[in-house]
Amino acid sequence: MTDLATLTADGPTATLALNRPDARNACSIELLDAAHARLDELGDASGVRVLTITGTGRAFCAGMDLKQVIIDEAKGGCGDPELPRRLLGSLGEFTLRLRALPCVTLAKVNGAAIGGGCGLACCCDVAISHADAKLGFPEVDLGLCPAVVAPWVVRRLGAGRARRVLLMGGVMSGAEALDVGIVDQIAPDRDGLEALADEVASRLAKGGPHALAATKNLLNELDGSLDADLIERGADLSASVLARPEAQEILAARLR
Amino acid sequence: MIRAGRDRGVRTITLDAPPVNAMTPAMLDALHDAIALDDDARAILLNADHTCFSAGFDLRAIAADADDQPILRALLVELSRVVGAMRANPRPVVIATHGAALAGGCALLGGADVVACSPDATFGYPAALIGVSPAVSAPFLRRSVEDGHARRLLLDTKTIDATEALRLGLVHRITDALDDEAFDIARVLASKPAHAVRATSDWVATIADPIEATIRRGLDASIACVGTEEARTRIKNAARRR
Repeated sequence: MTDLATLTADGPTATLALNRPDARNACSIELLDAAHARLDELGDASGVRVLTITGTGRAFCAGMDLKQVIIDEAKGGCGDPELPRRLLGSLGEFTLRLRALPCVTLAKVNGAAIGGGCGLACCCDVAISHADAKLGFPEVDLGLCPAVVAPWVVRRLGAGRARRVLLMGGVMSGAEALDVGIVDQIAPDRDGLEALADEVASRLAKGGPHALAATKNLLNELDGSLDADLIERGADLSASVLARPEAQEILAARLR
Repeated sequence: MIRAGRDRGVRTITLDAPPVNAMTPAMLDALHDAIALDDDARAILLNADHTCFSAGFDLRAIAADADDQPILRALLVELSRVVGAMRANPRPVVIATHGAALAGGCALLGGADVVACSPDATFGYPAALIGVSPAVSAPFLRRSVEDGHARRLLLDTKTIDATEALRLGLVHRITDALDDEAFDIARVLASKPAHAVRATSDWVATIADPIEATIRRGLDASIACVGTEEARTRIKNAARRR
């Protein structure tokens, strides 16, 4: 089996790539298991100052794996009513672990970052993309509640903008994502993102590792980032909204 | 003072108190009831007729007030109640504002999920000029814009224009076609699965909205200015200049 998440380290910088390009790197329980395992390995790789999160292929991360959030097997779903909660919990825990890392995290949004995928970008310390990327939170359009990632969206955008973005749903271009604050910088096009990512990562890596870790730690304390209870409650809420018949109907229609 | 209508799932509430939609306790009471009405509307659009959205409290009414300023006190209580009702409403609230939205008029923005404005819109909290603290708005404003901006807006009596308000996050969209675009935004919100919208709105509130005690403290801080020599003198002087 190919690795659903890969970790490559190069001195002070490392890259964690979601590696399921045929499914636009959608979060399945297996992909998240692999991503957690890569973070375990990173824990030993002291000396990494910047961790870039990106997606293999055209997409960054298309959000939750549709087949694992549809419960009814007859509708193409997983047949396990507990699986969506586990999936959401695993995503939430992954975001918490990313946030708690002592190194700086850089989201390199190479393509579609949808729902939970866009939430991953919001959880990172710095996020970059390109003008043509598609980002956003279409959860409400699907009858879902983006509760697991909402705390990261609120912290990154502020509550006012987060409220508007999460309630309006839909997706936006990289340029609009820059305006609203989901990403900090964009390249003019997809091809330009590599150079921008190298530039930002090497600049971030110039900081002293202790200084960076101390600063992150303080910022996490100030905004209550490591409140695991909030993420758990978010996963509960998200799973309960997701299990409602109207949401299941919309999701099944998407799969067809 | 307040008109309300229904169109395709959107309840439109219009401030209609010429010439500047100045706020009286009766107007805010009617606005509260129009917002809190529990029917099958799926979104609320709040807009205004006449030259501006609202110039804030009715200066003439509070200038003619008794020494302990019961009208000013009632205005502050009603304003907090109206913004609270917007926040607590299960329906998303869109505000469309044109011209000035000042002091109490600007405070209403704190209750909205989405704010659209025309290019001529201006915003600000010049309440301190009449000796009244805009603290009643602070708990809500601090959730719309970041702390640094909130401090500046509440402490500096200078107003800001639409572009600046967009940059700060106080408004989300500037448009020449305000009526149509604001209605479209409300329509989009009304068309989404109601349960998902409600759950998401409540969850963002759980994460970030001011708690009841904070709202109360903001109101108390504003009320502490009521009946002071400073407020009475400044209000009378301001009313004379009009």
